[in-house]
Amino acid sequence: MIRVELRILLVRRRTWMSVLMLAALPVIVALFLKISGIGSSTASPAFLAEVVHNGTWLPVAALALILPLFLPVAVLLLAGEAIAGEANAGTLRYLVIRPVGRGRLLAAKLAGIMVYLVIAVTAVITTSFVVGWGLFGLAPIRPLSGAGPPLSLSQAGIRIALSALFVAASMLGIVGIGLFLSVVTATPLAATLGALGVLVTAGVLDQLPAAAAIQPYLPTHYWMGFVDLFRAPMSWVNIRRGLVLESGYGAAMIIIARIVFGTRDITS
Amino acid sequence: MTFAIHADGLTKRYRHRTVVDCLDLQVATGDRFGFLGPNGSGKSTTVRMLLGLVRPSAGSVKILGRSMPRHARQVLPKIGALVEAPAFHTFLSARVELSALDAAGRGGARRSRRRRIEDALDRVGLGAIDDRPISRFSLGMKQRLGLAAALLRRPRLLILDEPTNGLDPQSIREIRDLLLELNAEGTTVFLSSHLLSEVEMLCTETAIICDGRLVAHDSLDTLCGPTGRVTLRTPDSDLAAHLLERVLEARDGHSLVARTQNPMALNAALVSAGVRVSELVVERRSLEDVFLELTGNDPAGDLESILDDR
Repeated sequence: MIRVELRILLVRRRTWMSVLMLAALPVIVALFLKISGIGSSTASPAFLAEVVHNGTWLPVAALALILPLFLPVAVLLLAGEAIAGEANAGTLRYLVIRPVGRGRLLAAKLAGIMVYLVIAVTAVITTSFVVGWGLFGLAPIRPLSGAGPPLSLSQAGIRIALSALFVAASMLGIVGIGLFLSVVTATPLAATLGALGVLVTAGVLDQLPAAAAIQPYLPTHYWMGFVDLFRAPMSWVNIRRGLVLESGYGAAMIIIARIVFGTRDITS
Repeated sequence: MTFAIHADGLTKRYRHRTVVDCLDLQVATGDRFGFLGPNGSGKSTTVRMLLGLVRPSAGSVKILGRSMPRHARQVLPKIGALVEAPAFHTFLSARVELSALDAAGRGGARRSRRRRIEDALDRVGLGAIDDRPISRFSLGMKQRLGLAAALLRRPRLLILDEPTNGLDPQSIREIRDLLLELNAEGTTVFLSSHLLSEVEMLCTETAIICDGRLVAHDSLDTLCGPTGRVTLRTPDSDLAAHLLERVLEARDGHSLVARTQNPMALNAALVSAGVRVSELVVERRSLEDVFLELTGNDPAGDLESILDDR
């Protein structure tokens, strides 16, 4: 089933259109920076300003650009559609009587989403690397904070790749929520928007001082943790916490989704 | 005897509404079985319970001798089914879709996949189909493709819900011939439908469901048994009317309708009295009469008499 799912995902034009759009965003931003010559000094994160001086920062900036909304929307479209989309199209009943076990179906959908994420972040950092090189040139980068020797291009490349994987893994929590909602509703859009609602709520609470007590447990709290890879000394704390939190949310939601899916009547 | 389908006290309740109520169903191996019922009578819910898509609130289902949904993994690969309308990933072509469907589930050997796909497409008359996406198929083609998907695993049991929906008369006949052919090769055919003609022309056994309850479960011959009336034509109609005076129900020129449980004796009596009988027809109930009376849509219907006659 996993192979079938990947095959369907990869022949779908929509998959590649969304990857293209994700990769295009940092390119557009880079073009504006190049034409205007203005590095936004108030921009958060700070390294966006560095892009005009050193194209090596562009992939890092690109990850930060797609992270808050664009990548979650793209991946939640897939997650929301996972089961609800099959139910909506009527194909779910035919898959289940083929028979495809419900757990196996859910696992295949999750695998498809993970593959999509890896393809998406790879496309984003590769394009922005090439564009950053072409527009601003590549140079060793200075660590964001602390004191240390500049990172060579290959060192920076490795950290950028690690960042991309961390960004992909950061989606696990909301992907789990999206898959769960996709099991309980027959409307893919409802599942996608429901999970986006959770995302927005988490984002608001993460900025709210009054909610400080629960902030470390919000699924979006450690998303920017990959920035720590570009500090001196490099810090793994937030990365580790983020991975634990995301895989915890992801695993819990998928287990609940599996249980609910297993007991549900398929009436679509 | 093992039945292809054996449901026992099958019941489905949603909150306070009972959709299927204590259904007992036996479909013998090799049967062509028609499952009839008006829209909303619980047909589809029953079919979904047979396939393990919907869990019964009470009762049990055995398919090919094994209980469902517990043994779904072993049973389902031997079943081909069309549940309501066919459904596909419509951006794929017919062959890619069938191959994905076959690869998705247990029980389809990869080596024979290509051949089985071509076989199934040939059988439903889509052997020459090109690579266009399914979204560009006509309703009839989608219906045929759905049937091909059901045939992909060379099933021993076919559970089909309205398989000729959206087909033109020519295609309906082709599909019927196909089902007869498969049945002759040993496939049990369970056909759920509200189309009486479809069941009448294809099936030998039938069950009728109404408001979730089974109201008939018998062979088509028994259900559509004699009404106890004969229609006869004779040029000697005056003499015949005189002889049959006590059982005569209607007369229209040379055509008479008489009540009798024994048409042979009636004919013999007429002939020995010198009445020349040119035509004698035993009136049988049509499936439509039976259906309408049993499902209560016929105000003149007499449920009791039908049940008593059986």
